[in-house]
Amino acid sequence: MAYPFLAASDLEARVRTYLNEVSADFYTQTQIYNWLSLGAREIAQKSTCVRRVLEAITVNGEKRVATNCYKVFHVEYIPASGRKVMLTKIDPLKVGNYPSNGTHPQYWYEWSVTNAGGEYQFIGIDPTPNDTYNLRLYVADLPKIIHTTYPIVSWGSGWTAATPADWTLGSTAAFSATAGTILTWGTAITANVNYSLGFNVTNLSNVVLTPYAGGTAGQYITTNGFHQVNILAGSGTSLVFSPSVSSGTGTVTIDNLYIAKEGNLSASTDAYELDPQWNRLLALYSTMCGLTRGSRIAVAQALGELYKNEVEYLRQLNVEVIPDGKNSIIYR
Amino acid sequence: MINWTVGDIITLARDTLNEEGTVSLTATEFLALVNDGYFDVATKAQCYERRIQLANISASVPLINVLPYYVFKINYVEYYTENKGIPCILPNAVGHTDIDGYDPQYWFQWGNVIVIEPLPDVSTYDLYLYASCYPPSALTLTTETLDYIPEEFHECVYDYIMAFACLKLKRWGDFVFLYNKYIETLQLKKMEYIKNNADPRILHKVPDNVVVK
Repeated sequence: MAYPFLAASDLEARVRTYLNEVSADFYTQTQIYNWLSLGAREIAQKSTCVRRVLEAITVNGEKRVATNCYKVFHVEYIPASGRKVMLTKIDPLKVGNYPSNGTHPQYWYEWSVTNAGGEYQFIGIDPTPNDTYNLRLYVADLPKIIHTTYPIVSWGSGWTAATPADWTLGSTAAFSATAGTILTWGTAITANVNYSLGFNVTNLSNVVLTPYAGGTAGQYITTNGFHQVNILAGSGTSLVFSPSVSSGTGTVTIDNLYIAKEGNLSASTDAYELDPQWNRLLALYSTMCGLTRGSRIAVAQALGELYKNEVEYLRQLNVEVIPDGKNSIIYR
Repeated sequence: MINWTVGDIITLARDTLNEEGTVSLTATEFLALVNDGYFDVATKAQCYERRIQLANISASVPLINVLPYYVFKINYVEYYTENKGIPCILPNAVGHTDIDGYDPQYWFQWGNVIVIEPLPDVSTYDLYLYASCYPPSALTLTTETLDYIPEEFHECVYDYIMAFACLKLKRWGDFVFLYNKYIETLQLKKMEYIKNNADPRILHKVPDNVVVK
């Protein structure tokens, strides 16, 4: 497993140390993996530590923008030219009642509409978009299981370019052609599962780049830089990058691909994308569950208190944005 | 004992816990505890401090990925091209603050990315990140030393493994005592060695009056 992440087997070994059961007996591997999976989500929910910046684009005439995460904290509007701006958060009562300056997005509000699987949420944009507008969503998400190569930095094998092979595959995946040809990952992905992709884009010209997971299109990319997208994979099992050439010769280069998928720990090599600072607490949480199973309630409660306090402490210490004040840079 | 090896720490912990043999705690378990302590000290004390130079950042890149540097907390950012520290702002302030041209003037961290405000209008620029990081590799040998945390924090790793070894030994009361000792010592050392408050101007003056009671 890619350093510094800890695989399920490493975490299980730590839990077994704390529970004083080196080999599976009273505690099965499945039980410990389930507790670890539960703990990973609880840590992410309580600390909001899995933070991403997701791309989004409004639809003409539609207030709602689909998100796919625990919570949206901030929404940034990226104008075609000029300075990007963080939109002001409002509630639905204020829609249409606050002063607006033009028709571009100026306010946003949270209203969690979920589907039957609890997968989707939406935010609302005010005024109602009359065009497609680029947004960036600053979100907290659930922890996903990272691919064993994290990130993928070698594209020379494991990837297939459709004919004509307009992709040059090596330390990067570089596309240059007058029409788009897709690039497909050779590893089958899990259908109908949430995926998070992060990748670096350079040399983008005359191209709109769209990632697909299981046949579902993620948010398309039109700018250079590091991008993160969440995709609920469809019924297919392929992961694809599709460049659409807008005019002349289009070019785009992709490198450093981070792939993570939603799920519980099931294989010994599985690892969550949680920062290493949370791994020790993950083991503590699972130990607490194990002690509860063993009817050691008082000790479990003590460990639970320690775990709870440390989650909050680390959130304040390393997750929250603590701004500098104006006086911080003045010699007084 | 200066610059302890992993083996030194484990031996000392075994002696103090009255666990000289590998009866209850195996060498593998102890090595995992040392690694956990190494990470926990680095995380809580923010004591593995690095200055990371990000050179030739393309001005058109809105998000800078810092995951490859094992960064968990960016403390300060210097706009190196102009040799100038720039303040951290809340994300809410983006697009609303006064700016002077389009050089980098503010920043904030969101997970594994850093965002610069405003988006610079130069072709490329350089930044220094003053960041707290994880050690770049795990400890695998008993002959290794804890190279990536300052020497004054090495004893904290010992305190950590003493506490957590007690969990396996079912010495739960000892665990609570030793864990409190670990945290207390770590915080004292962090205040002493890591916190770096700047001098206010008043410290350069002779005080009007000093009374020692």
